[in-house]
Amino acid sequence: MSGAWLILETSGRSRVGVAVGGAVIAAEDLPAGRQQNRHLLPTVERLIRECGLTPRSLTHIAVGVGPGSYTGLRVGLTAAKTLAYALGCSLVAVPTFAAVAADVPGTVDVIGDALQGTIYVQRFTDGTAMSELRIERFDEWVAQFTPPPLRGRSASEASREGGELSVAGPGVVTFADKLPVHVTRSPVVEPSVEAVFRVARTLPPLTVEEMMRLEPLYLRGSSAEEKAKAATSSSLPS
Amino acid sequence: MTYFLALETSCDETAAAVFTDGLTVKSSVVASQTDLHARFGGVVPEIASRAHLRNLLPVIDEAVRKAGITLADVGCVAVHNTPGLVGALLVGVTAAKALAVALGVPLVAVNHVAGHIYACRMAAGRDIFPCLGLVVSGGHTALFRCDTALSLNLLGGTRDDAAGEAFDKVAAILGLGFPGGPAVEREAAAGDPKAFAFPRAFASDPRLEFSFSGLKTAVLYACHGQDVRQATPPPPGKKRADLAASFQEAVVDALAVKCRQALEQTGLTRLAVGGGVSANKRLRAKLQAACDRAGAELFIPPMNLCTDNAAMAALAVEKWRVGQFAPPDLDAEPNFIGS
Repeated sequence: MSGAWLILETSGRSRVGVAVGGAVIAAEDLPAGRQQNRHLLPTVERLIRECGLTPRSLTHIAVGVGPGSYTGLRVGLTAAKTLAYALGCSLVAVPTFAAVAADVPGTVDVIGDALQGTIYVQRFTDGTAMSELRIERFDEWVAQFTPPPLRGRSASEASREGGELSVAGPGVVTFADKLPVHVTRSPVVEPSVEAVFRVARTLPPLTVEEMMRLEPLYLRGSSAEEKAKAATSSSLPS
Repeated sequence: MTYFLALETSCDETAAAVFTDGLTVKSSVVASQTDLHARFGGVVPEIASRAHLRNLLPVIDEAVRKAGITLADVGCVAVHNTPGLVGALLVGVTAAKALAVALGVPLVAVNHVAGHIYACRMAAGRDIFPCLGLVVSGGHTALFRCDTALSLNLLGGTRDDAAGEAFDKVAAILGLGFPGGPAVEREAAAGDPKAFAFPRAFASDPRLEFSFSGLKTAVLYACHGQDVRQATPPPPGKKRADLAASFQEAVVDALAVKCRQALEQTGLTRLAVGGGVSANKRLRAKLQAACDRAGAELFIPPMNLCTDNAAMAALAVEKWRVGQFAPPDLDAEPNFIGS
């Protein structure tokens, strides 16, 4: 699956890349902050041009679908979906944590801030997902690192299964002060354009219907819906 | 002939339209999110942004197909980039920029509020400028001096709630459901508009401003007395209908009085009205009376052009004619900054 690829990853810091002949030939990180939403498409257009291509010559678009910043992801997905729709090219949805894990050997928990004391977390071994992506309380997740003999089973199981468990992803920075000192922190925080591209090449492109309806990996409703859900469930007889 | 593809995502309607440089609307598709927001009694920004991302491509696709063209026929992309909910606007603005890049065509940014007034020009089928513009919806209540389609000068607006927002909140107080505009109007039909003497803010003041939050509180107190801690909506009946009718009359009076004052102060002889609240029949009657007294002509577009839609972005044609294109790094601008 070669061709000309545009790669977008906007779950945190926005990144844009172009790959031709199976290799990334240009990549750029946008300056951090709200302005990156504004500059995403001009950057895409310039990078394509600098690679000697036109939008029409794109055959595939790969986009990181989170989890991460809701607004950032919506901008990235809107851009990717609309370009794919208007150019008639294939769209590949890349889970952001899979792209993080693609650069981390061994067993790793990829974590990201899910706010209000919770994290997004998913375990990978050598890039292969070993668990579903889920939201968990940070306190409960971090308890597995309690040193022996008190420690929980997950970390010890992981070490029995294939070496030490490390931690990667944007949560490593967010929770830097709360991670126990003995935990191995991977330097891979956000996915590289190369990693997004590598994972994208292993995934099937979306159908037109899937492309039209593609959404970020939110994993939960808006806070208004979550509050309403909590209020309903607490008012039900137990 | 040039085909325009226009997008609207400023609040809770996801819309796309195709029109020509001759202002012929070939298609106008609106996916309403009302059902998603109803149980919250108002628009929830995060829910709106999510729904825009889900709905926008299917809505664009339907608009293009209904117009009987293909994307390759589109010669210009237009988008409302201000004012509105920033997360909602960003979806439309990003999609419009992507379409312009993919199709290699120019992009025009349209002020959503100016679009509401331009809808009057489209419905009239002739020039209506210069005119006084009143935009009255769930998000806006403001008067503008519009010397041309592209020049909008704010004369005054609401100091607190928008009129449509007041309808939503009073509908919640009266237990009438969301959206409040049609619900209150239905209830008011059986009520006495003079039953309760609700306030008309700034009625005898020449300044062109509105305020509806005191009115909302007055309805709450009239409904429940001063102790509103245990407030439950009133049962159906005469009192509820009277409350609805008296509230509606107060809003409509305030809007009509300010329009008449603005016509007198500016010497303008045309009033163009847009926004969802302009669907209210009592408002239409009162504005007609105000225009008759001031010797002015009233323009209110049909329902489908009053509420949020993308066809009203045909104001883009005026900008396109004079080469006012948007920069490639166009941003969503939540606050109104004039045009």
